[in-house]
Amino acid sequence: MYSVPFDYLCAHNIQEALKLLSEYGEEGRVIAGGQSLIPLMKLRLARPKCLVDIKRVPGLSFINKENGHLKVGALTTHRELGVSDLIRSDLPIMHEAAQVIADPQVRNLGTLVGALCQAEPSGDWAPVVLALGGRLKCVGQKGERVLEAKEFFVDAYTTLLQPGEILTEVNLPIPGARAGGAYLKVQRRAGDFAVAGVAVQLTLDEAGLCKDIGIGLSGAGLTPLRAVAVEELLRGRRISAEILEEASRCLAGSVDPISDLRGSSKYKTDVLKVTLKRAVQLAASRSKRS
Amino acid sequence: MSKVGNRGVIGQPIKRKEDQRLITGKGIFVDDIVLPEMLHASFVRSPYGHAYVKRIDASRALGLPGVVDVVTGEEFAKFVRPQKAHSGLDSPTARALEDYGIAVKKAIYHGEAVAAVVALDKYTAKDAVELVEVDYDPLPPLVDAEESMSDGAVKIHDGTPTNVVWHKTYNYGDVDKAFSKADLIVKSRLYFDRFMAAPLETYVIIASFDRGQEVMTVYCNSAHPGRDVFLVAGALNLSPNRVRLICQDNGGSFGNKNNIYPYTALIGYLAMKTGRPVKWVMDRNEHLLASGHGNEMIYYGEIAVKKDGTILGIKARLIADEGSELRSEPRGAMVWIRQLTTFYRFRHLRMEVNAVLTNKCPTGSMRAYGKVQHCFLIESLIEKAARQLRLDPAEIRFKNFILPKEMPYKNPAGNIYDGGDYPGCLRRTLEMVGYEDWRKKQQKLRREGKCLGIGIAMAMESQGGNLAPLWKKGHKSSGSVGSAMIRIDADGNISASVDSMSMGHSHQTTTAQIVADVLSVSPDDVDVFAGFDSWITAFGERYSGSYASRFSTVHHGAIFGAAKRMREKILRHGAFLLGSAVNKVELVQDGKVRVKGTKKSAGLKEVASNAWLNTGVLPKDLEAGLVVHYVYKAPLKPLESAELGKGNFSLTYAYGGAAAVVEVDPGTGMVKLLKIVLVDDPGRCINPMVCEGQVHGQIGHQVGAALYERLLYDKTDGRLLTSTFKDYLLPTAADFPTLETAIMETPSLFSPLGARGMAEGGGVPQIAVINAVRDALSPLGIEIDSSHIEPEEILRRIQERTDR
Repeated sequence: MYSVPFDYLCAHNIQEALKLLSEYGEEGRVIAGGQSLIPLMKLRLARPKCLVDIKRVPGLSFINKENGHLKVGALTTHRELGVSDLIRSDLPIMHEAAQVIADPQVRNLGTLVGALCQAEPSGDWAPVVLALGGRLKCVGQKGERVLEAKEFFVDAYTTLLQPGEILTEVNLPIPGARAGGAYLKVQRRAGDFAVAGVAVQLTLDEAGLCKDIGIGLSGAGLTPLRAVAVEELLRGRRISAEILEEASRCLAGSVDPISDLRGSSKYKTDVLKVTLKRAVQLAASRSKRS
Repeated sequence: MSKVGNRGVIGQPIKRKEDQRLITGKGIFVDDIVLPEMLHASFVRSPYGHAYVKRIDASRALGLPGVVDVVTGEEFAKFVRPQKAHSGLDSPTARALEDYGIAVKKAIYHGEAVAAVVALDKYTAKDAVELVEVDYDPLPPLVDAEESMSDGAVKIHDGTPTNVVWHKTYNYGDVDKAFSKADLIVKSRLYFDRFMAAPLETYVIIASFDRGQEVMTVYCNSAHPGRDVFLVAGALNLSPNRVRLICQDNGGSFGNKNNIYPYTALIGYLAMKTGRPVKWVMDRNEHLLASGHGNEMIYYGEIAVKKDGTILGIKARLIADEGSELRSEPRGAMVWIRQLTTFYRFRHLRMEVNAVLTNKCPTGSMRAYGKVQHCFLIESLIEKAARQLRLDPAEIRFKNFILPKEMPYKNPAGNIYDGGDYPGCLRRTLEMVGYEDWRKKQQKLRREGKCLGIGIAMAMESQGGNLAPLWKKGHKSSGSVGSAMIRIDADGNISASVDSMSMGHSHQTTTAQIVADVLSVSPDDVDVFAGFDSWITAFGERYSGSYASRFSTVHHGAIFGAAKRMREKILRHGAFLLGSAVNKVELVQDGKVRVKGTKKSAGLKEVASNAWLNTGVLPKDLEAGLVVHYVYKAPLKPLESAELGKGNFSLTYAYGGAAAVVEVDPGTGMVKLLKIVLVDDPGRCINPMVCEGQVHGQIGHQVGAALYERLLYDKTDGRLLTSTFKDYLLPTAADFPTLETAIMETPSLFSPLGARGMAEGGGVPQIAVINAVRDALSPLGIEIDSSHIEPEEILRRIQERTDR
């Protein structure tokens, strides 16, 4: 399987990358790890006229702790996140997710930012970043802007990122005391696309009520989704079997999974419901231990 | 079995000769070969499952710089003769089939080739494929075999009377009488799902035509090159000795590469037409669409049993979905005949066979070809009967096993089982899995609402087969032939070749072990040709190749026979050199010839040098040189009649037992494989490490078939939905628990070294896994009737039960 012909340009700094991208407009694509884009190109489903490689742009690979946030750069790979001590201690939900992404070969090359830009509806990172309430720094020739993850995914494989823009950094708040997170993925085989994935990041108050909660979903529709209605339902409530039952019914009303070979829309909804209950419970039990 | 050699290297787990070369990337696969002036081909393929090809406009493609030619199916049909690999099958539809390997007027499966592009490089060829404009007139596709065999169905091949290529009922014993004595009759509609072998390397062919000598040289990765020589020669109107097929390293076949031959003829034609070598590398998408699929079958099966579990008889109506052409078929639908009643004592069986064409990729050889389907039928019916009789699935099997003391055992078709210990195999399997402990654990977990299942299965295979009536009408014996060559040069270097190729089988290693054993040398001293070259290596006519697990029967026979002859030659030359009589000398360590009871000896190099270089002094009756070419024929009696289904169809009947433990998640329907064990009886192991590796492959493939891999066609447009690895789910090592395997050796009574073909194992892991899922869901009263199960289906069935 070979792609259609394309130009390959390698940028050495961010300005150069932005300039090259602007020349090609909608026909240009940024490539970092290439773990989603290259297979799509080989299937001729993606046909960019030009790839702008940013792997040689300095200063884009980092995991930094600043002001209660972790910042992850555009070239930071799945593996780097998966083995990072900072991630393990401060954002355990990301550590958990990094272990179930694809296979070691993909993890060595693929990047968090690349996965977010791909906006695969059955991917693993988007629900986690949504649950954490991440913010995304996008740089263009006209300057930079910061987008909320929850507004970033607008349509199937489509984000708010404009042609000529590069997502350079993901900014993730570090949860405080009594916080717990869980990413549960139901998959057909190890490292596969999620049939359903639920990321839950919650904080309980001293009385054990749910003070704050973020829920991100994979396999729930055309885009990665944040389960806002379910979050609202659970906020201020004690996590019990009854409320989880209610939450799963609420979830069913707010998702519309795509039927495909990994399951019909109904099946995926059923799996999301049961996975939501398990993930919230797991996150709550982790919060009690923290 | 005769005692051989004194080195005892047979049976030793020596390291593979192949490893160093292949692991360090020094293998030479077909795509590594580059010939001068070589062109590259790529195929335009039908996006429809069933459509007339109205018009092909290649002008835009021909305008692309670098494109040399575009050849349509119609042009191929003018110069290439249609191929009939299924000769011997006599039905009006089968006789009328014209398989060109490419659509001529009508495309009859999604992905069928309709035209070929030839270009200066592979990228240009691919780009040009998109520029070939094809007008199609789509027809409703027939992807359901039962629909396809109905009277009103559109005929897939124009001008044929029916889509049923073969219909016949086989009766053994008195089935009706057996059923009349039953305490219980259990019925099932069983579906054996379509899946395939997906080796790392897809089909690759280079054809090069020498116009001066009129010789077609083909480098390809066929698994059955001997047959392909004849098929390709026939298609291209060349005499077979002018077709030279060379197959060296091969990135895996598992039966799949037996189905390459239609393409070999097409690429051969392109080489003849362009006058330049042409290479074609099939891509993965094409491989899933249009290489060869495994046999899909529907069974309406019934089993008659007594209350105590005694099996009285089985009857079944078999509908074999052959896909759109008959390639290796109908062998896949027919090999059940070899192992009719498998391990069990019942003598009454009726099979009604319907081989049906559909608008799907042609089926063909695949690991446990046709046998796993038959074992699935029998094991599924037994399993269901046991549940209804409230018998343990192990107990019902023990009740019905043929016992070791009855060997050799003649089954109702006349197949003669070559030894084996079936109850011993199942006992060992149960011990290894810890059957009793799991049953206890299961009771406890069931009370906690968990769905744990333990599945066992037995499956039989057959090797060194005789399916003469399918090869050539009227013949009573064919197929069980292998060929080997051994040469020792004047310096004493030993080279061997055999008419098969290793596709991960380790033939270089095991061949060297056998030769070394007989010639009293080290396996390191035996160089084995890596692959097959119909002009150079041992040639075994149309049988040459690595398929149907034949290595351990006919190829062992050939190597062993050749080595014994070489041993005789060495002894004769040695005796002459030492001035002794042949019966006074012996072969000792390092191939040295020694006068018995003395220290007088001659080294192999000395003997060889004399045999080749000092020929003038040799006596008249002593042939110069040390070369042996030996053709082995299995000691199979001709069939009792020229009719299929009566007589002994195989030299050996290998078998295995497997047990699987699974946990089904009642919330998602997901199946987790917790444990899998497999006990295989290869009769005699030439190299235990090699045997174990092959068993691992078997587990991977067959568990994949049960839980991951399926080829699913869209019923409305006939498209293959699982046409990339995104959707055709191959499991990886990460999906498996530690594989627990054991080899038990009950020597074959008939094969040359007591070995049986292994590695296919009758697909036993697949059946064990399905039985485990059945067991897990049995408290809910759920029956699983298919060989592959999707989580969604499991969840739906659970919900149906629990919602009531």
